[in-house]
Amino acid sequence: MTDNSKSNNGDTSADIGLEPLLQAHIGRKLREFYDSAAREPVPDRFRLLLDQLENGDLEGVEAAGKADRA
Amino acid sequence: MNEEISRGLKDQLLAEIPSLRAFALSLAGIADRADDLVQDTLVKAWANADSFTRGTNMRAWLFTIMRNTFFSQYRKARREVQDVDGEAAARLVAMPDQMSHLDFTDFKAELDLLPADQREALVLIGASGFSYEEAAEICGVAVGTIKSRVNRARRRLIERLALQTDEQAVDTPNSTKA
Repeated sequence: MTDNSKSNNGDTSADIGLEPLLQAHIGRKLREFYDSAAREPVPDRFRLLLDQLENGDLEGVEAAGKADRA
Repeated sequence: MNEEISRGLKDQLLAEIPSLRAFALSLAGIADRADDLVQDTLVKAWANADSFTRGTNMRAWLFTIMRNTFFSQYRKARREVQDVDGEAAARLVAMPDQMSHLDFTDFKAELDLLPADQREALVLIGASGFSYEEAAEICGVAVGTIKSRVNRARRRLIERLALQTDEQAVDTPNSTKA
């Protein structure tokens, strides 16, 4: 992604000036949560779905979607 | 769609699934719903592949589809009537002794308590690695709106953290609302 370090600065409100450490902590927790979710292996469900899409099997896709929600 | 394009798209989508799942979990909260959201996003992406401009950021394109899907369908089903402050306060009162250090007891739960638009902005900027400009495009709002949402989300989380810390009688300055 593009470098966003510049635009991430300069938006700190004065009234939360006591908390650069808390800000950093929140940033770490947020990335921890997100990265651990993104590290999960891709479930077969999605490989199957992409196969069906590739084969133009939209009926199969809808059936699978219904089954998953049932 | 010819075979070559179809194959390319399939590989690209497959590569983006981990990010899509992380973003979906941020938006939808519950894992089951998150994966349903991923599925709907993939199906829509496939059906609208023509609208993707080659050479542009596919992740941003997919995130746009996902968040639009979420806000048009999924959001109605939950979060709308949560008593956000009361709920958090109740939980804080219930478990002060369990906190032994300065930390969130459950960061995911705190994240879920944020208004959906603030949570979305915070995740796009703070975790997905998008710039403010990209996030603004994904959400279809002005850059200033994204900045303001991120700021409010951060301040709210800081207040929660400070609250939880106060509960342990740690001598930390209050972060009160302006």
